Amino acid sequence: MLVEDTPDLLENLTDTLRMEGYEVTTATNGAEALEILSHKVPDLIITDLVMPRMDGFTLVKKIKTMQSLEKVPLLIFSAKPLNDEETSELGADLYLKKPCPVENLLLSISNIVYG
Amino acid sequence: MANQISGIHSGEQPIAGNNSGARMLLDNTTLAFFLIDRKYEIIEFNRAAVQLSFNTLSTGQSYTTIFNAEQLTVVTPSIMTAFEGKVSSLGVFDSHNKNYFSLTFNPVKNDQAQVTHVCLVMQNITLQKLEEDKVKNNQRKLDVLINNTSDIIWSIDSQMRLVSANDAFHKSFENYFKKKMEEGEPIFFPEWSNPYSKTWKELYQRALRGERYTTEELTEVKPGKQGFHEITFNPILDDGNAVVGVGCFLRDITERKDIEQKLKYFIEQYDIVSMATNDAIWDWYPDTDTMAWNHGLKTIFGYEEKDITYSFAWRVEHIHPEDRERVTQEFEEIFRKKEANYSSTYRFKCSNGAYKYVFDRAYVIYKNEKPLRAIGAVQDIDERMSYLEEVRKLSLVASKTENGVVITDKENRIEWINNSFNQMTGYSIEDVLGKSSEMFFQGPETDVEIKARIEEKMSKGEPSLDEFIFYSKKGQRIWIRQSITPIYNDHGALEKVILVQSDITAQKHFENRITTIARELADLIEHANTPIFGTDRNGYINEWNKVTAEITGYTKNEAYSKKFLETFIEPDLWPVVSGKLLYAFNGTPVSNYELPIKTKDGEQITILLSVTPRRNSSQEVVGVMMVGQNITELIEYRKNLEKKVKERTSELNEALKKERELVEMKSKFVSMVSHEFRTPLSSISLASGFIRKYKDKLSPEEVSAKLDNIEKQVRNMTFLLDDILTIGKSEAGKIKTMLSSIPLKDFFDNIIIEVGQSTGVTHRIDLITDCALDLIQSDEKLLRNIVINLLTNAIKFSPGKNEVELNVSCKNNKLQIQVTDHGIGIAKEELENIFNAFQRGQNVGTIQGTGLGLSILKKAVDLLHGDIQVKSKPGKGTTFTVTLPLMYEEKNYAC
Repeated sequence: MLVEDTPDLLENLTDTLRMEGYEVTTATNGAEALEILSHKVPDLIITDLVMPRMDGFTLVKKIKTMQSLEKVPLLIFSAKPLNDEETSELGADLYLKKPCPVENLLLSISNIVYG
Repeated sequence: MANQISGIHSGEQPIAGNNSGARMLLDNTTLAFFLIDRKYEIIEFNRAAVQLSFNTLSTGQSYTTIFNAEQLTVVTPSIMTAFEGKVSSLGVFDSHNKNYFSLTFNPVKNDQAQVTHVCLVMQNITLQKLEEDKVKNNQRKLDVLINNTSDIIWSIDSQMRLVSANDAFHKSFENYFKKKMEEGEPIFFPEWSNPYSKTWKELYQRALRGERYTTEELTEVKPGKQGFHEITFNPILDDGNAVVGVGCFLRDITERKDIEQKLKYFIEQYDIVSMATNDAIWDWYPDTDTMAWNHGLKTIFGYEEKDITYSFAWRVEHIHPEDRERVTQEFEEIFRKKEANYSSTYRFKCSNGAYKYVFDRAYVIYKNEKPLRAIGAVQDIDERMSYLEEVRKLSLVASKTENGVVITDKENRIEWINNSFNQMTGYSIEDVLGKSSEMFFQGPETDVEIKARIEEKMSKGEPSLDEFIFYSKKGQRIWIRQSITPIYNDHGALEKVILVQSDITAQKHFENRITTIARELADLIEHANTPIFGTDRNGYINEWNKVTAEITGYTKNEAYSKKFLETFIEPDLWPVVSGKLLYAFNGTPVSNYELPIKTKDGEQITILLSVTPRRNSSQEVVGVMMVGQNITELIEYRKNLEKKVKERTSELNEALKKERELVEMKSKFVSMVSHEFRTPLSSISLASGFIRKYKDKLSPEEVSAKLDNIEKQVRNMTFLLDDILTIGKSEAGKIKTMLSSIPLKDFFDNIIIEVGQSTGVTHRIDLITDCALDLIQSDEKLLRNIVINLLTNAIKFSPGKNEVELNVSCKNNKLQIQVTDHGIGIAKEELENIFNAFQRGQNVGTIQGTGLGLSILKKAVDLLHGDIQVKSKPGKGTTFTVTLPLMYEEKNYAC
């Protein structure tokens, strides 16, 4: 599950991930994402933080309340700098800062997904 | 006996018939018998004779041997007489043994009646004689007594006949009856017309009954002279106790009675006096040491009967110990000198233990050089002594005091002055004696008012206290305080006047000085250049200086005696102000209190006040003094200052807020910017990474697409940078407007084309111009910025709604550019903030934008001194209207 509001970036990310063989479902904001997540449980959720309509923070909180998504790892991919407090508050499994070299990104994702 | 012997009658048997018997008789008798013959020789004698003889006796002795020469002178004639035949008796005294002898010479006759012998009978009759003499003496004495006394003595027999009477009786009788009463005559006789005769009879009868008594009778012993007589009746009894007579004894006691009466009278008088006197009278009999007191002992000293011992010692005991010795000595002195009059002053103890001063005057009666009796009168002089003591003390005071004391009589004539007066005034007693005390205030500077008042008071006998100028003897001015005290005696009559004077010159100078200082102070207060005012304890104004009057508008007269609080202070301030005043009334000064005061014109002024308690000489608070400063202006100034401060502060706060906002905005800007850059950079990174990684798998189109993407990102970033720089420049004020002439139509046409190209010609832009001008003056770059921004925004935010209107018009010197789209619109709440940097509408969703566009737009409009307005309806569309001033002259207007 990929949640990102900037279309170009979303496109690039999607392409890259697909090339790697992942099945990618996209949403351009938190609300849209939740909609999809309510009936689909991905293996990994990657989300941006600053988004219109529902931002990443709210989304993450909401995800955490969903029992179906309990075991789903969470990866934050954002340009927003976070301090330690905010990071732990989010409680994501991984936080990656934009821009991130592709290799790193792909490696992190595979680590999470495949253990 | 001798008589008896010589009385032997003839014819009787003689004793000598029997010799032995006769001898026995003769020898046993105490009578001495001598028989003497014609030869004058003793031929016979008896034993008694022997004892009686002075010498040895023998027969044949001449009779002369019995006697001494002296005796013989009387004996011899007697014996010779006897030899003549006559009995001769005589008495003889023997000076040798002091014996009396009775001698009887009895002639002894023979039968022929011739005297042959003489019988001498001698008897020691000393005792008898003595007795006789005694009796005779007594008799004589008695006679003398009886007959020399004026007392009448007589005796009567049981038949009331006169038995014997003394001379006085006879005299009295003769005087009375003009004849003599003989013994044996009845004591009463009919002619006796003594009116008392009946009584007499009774008296005699009483005595004749055997009663022995004495009676006092008023009777006459001289015709016409009545008198008191004491008559004693002594019944005379015989051996058988039968009354045979009465011895009477009459004494004229008229005088005595008289004396008795007088005495009684005197005693009565004495008693009266004794009762009347306030003195305690004592009566002392030294020989029995009995001292009697009258009631004075009780009334003066309070002693009851039981407390008194009637002896001299008791009196002495009660004299004050300190006076006792002196008094005793005085008394002894009097006795020693046998003086009759004695007086002494001492203290006598009262029953309650206190001592009283007494004056004791006594009269001593002496008999035979010894005091027989003393009578004293003790006078209570305690009061007087106390009075004297007081006087003594007072005179001591008067003499010692530093004040001048003058005593005048009731006519104000000076009688006495003390030393201090002399010291003070220079006048001696000689100078002033007899003069009126008015002489003292007669100088030129003497206050006539005071003088008149003093004179009036003196004439009324009233006390007075005055101060005036006095002239000493040397003419020196002295300030005197004088008190005049009239002295009245017990009857309320003016007796003396006492003047007491003290020199208060120094004091007066001091007072003057004080007055001067006070005046100076008052002046100081009055003319101080700051308001000074004050109230009394009750809040009434009693101090109001010039400046106070000036600033309040109330003159001193108007302010005085008004209540400070009510007159000058607003009612709502009364509690506070009176609270402050209370502090001061309680002694605590209040400083720097801002007091608003109402002036006469109704204005309000503010006085910075110090309130101080005002104290009198006893340190009691009698009011408050307030010293102030008119700070009305200062207050105003301060108010303004405060206002300014407030304003500045709020301005500052505003600025700070803005500053903070700005900082916040800047940091937000920075983070936004960094965020905005990171996103395209991420895309580039991903895109390039993609290519590199999957270049073998990718078709050239795919690669190309990616490369395009990269270029697009770069382009976006460049735009962003430009925008940022623009903002930066405009913030820094670096953007300068450069005016040039711009052809209107071309300008807008070109922009439309440009915008269409850059946005992919998704929308149709309708241009409507309504402007008479061909050229306009403006900064082209800015104008381009504005229009492009408006159009791109319109297009961007109306996806799917392809029409955008661009209205350009010139009116009233203004160029109006209006861009309308039918897009998502802007929420009402967000309208005011849309020109803020990075403000993005909530509803923009995925529509790209830096959020800087409108803020840049606004900046551009501001730079051109224009105005921008927004109207929008969410979901319907938005209209931006920019109005810019034209630089052209009027003549360019066609309309």
